[in-house]
Amino acid sequence: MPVISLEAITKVYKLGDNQVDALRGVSLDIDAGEFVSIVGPSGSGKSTMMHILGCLDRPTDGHYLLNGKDVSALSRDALAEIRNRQIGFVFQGFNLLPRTTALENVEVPLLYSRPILPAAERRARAMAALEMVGLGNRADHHPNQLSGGQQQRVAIARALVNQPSLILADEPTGNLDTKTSIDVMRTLQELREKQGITIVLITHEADIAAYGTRIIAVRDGLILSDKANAPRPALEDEVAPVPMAAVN
Amino acid sequence: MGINLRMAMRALMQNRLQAILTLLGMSVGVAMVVIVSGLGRGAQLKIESQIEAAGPTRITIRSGNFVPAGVNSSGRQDSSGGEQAEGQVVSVMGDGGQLADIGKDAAAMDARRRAAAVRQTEYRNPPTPLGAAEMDMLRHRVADVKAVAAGMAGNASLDDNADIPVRVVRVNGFQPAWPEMSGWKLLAGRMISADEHAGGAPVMLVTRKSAGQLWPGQASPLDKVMAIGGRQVRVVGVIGGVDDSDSSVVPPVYVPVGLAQRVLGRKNYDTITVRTVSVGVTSQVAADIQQKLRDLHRLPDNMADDFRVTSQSVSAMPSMGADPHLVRAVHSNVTGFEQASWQQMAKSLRAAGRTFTLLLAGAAAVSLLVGGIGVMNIMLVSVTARTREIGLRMALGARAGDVMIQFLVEAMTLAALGGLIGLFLGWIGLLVTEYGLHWATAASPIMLVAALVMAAATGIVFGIAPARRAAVLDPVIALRSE
Repeated sequence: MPVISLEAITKVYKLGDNQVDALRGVSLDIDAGEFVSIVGPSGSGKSTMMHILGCLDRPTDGHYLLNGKDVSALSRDALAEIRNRQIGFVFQGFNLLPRTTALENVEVPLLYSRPILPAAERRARAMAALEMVGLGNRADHHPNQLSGGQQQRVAIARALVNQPSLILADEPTGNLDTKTSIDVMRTLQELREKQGITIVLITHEADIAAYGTRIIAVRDGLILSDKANAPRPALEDEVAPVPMAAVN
Repeated sequence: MGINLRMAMRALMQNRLQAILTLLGMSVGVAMVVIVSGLGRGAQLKIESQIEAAGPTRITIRSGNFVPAGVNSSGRQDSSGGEQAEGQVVSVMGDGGQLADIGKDAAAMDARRRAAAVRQTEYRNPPTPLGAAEMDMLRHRVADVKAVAAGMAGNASLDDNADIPVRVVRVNGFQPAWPEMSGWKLLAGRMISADEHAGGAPVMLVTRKSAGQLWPGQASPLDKVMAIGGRQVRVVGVIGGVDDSDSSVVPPVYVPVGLAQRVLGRKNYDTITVRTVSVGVTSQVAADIQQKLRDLHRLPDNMADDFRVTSQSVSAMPSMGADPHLVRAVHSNVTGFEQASWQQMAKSLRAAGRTFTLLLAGAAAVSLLVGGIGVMNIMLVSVTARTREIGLRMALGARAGDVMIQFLVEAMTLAALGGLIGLFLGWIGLLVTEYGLHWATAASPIMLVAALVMAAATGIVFGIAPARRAAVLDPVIALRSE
C-alpha cells in the first residue's frame, strides 16, 4: 500500500472574480521508503501540492489517501491530529521558536499529542530525536546560538519526534549555503536509508532535487515528468554549483 | 496548563515593554478597585460606628417617677411647678398630635399608653427601691442586653481628714460594666479590679479636677488615702471622660458600689444602666424593661410606673439644638420618639455612604475596563506579530482549541499579574489614605480576592477576541506570513 495516493486532485483558488487553477488533476502514488523530489518553478503548483500533501489544505476535488485513509474531507482538528502524528515538516525558514532551547523546540509537537505524554517521556523522546540528527550536545542552546545548518537539523529532529511515516521538506536548503545544504540533504538521506522514512522534498533547484530517488517535475498544475533517479551521493568534499537563494 | 503558563510567560518576556505597560494599566485598575472598596467599607464602618456611638444604646432606670419641672397640656412650662403623673402628659400629647409623625412603633406605643393612661391615676409613694431583684431581672430576663451596671451616689463628710481643704465629697458607687458604658478613659494608675468590685474594697478613682480640689498643689493623687465613713480609702487611678460639670463645689470620687453602700449607709441603687446590643432594639428593650418592672413591682393597671426608663439620647437632645419644651415633653417617657428619628437619620446616613461607595466603584470599574482594553490591545498585537508562530504550531498539530487556550492563558496571566501588582499598589494607596489623609479605610480579604478574580476575568473577557482570531487562522496563510 502506498503511503501517499493522490487521485485526480484539483485545487482552485478564488481571487475576487478570478479563478486560479493551482492544481488541475494530479494523480500520484508514493511508496514507503521513497525520497521524492518535486521540482518546478514558482507558480507551478508545487507549493499547493505540498500544502495538500501536508494536510494543511484540502483539495477542491479528488481524493487524497494517506496510509490508506482518505483525508481529503476531514475537519480542521482531525487534520491537525494527522499532521501531528503522521507528518513531519521541515521548512525553508526553519521556523524555530525564538528564545526557546533546541530541546524545547523539538518537544513542541508532543505538546499537541493526545493523550499527552508525561514531561519526562517527552523530554527523553525529544533528546533521542536531537541525538539522531547529531545535536545531542546542543540541547540547551537557543536558536540564535546555533548555525543555520544546526537550526535546520533541530527542525528535522522536531519533524521526527512523533515518529511520522512521512517527512515533508519545503525548500529545506533555501536559506543555507552550499556546504550546509549538503549536510542537511545527507541527514535526510540517512533518515530514509536507516529508518525507511518516506521523504517528500519540494524544491526549485535541480541539484537539490537530485538527492531524491525519484524526481517529479510539476508545471502549470500538472505533472510534467515523473522518473526514478539514482540519488546523488552527498559527499563532504563535493563542490556542487548550488545557487544560493539566501545566506543566513 | 503548566506548559501553557510557561509558554505565556515566555511570550510576555519576549514582548517585555508592551507587557509592562499593559501590566501597569491593569494594575492601576485593580489598585483603584482595592482602594475604592477599602475606602467605601471604611466609610461605611465609620458611619455605622458613629450611628452606634450617637444612637441610643443606653437605657437608664431610676427609681421614682416625677415629671421634671411641670409640663402642662400645651407642652409649655407650667408656672405652678408641680409634679404630674406620666399618664396625663402622654395622653395630652397624643391628643395634641404634636408627635403624629414619629413612626409606626412609636405611634403604636402611644396608642397603648393612651389606653392605659385613662386608668393610670394613682402613683405609689414612696416608690419601690431598685435593688438586687431588679438587677437580677435585667441581667437574666430581658433580651438583647449587653451589659448592666447599677450605680448610686451620695455626699459624705470629710471631717476626719484634717489635710483636705473641702469638707464634703460626692461618693459615686459604680459596677464593673460602667466605665466602658460611659466612656471613661484611664489617665493614670489603674481601674478598680473585678475582685475589688466584688469585695467592695476601699479603693477609689478620682478625676483630675476632683484631685485638684482634694489635694491642691500635689503632683499625683495616686496612693493618697482619705477617710470616708470610717474607712481609709486609697486612690488607685485617675480617670477622664467623666461629665463632672455639675460638681464644681463637691468633688466626686468613684468607688465600688459595695463600698458606696457601706459608707452611705444604704442598701439600694439610685440608677441601673443597661446597654443594649444595638441601636435598633433599644426602644423595644426599653418597653420590655418597663413592662417587666411593672410586673416585678406588682403595679396594678390603675397605677403609674414607680420608676423611669429613659434612653441615652433623650438626655443628649437639648445639646443637639432641639426645642427645650419638646425635649421636656419627650423626656416624660416617649421612648419611641428619638428612636424613630435616629433610625431615619441612620438610614439617610447609610444611604449617603452607599452612594459614595457606588460612585467610587463606578470610577474603579472604568479604570478596570481601560486596563482590560489594554490587555486586548497587546493580545491583538501579539497575535498579529506571531501569526507565523501560530501557523507553525498548527502545522505541528495544534488544534484550534490549543491555540485559543494558549492566547487566553497569556491574556489571563497578563491580567492576573497586573492584578497582583494592583493589589500591592492598592494596599500602599490605602496606607497612604489612612495615615496620610486620615481617611477611614478597611480592606476586606474578600474584596482583595474579588479584585484578583475580576482582573483574571477581565483577562479572559478581553482575551477571547484576540485568541479567537488566532485560532481561526488558516495554517497555510499563517505560515506564509512574515
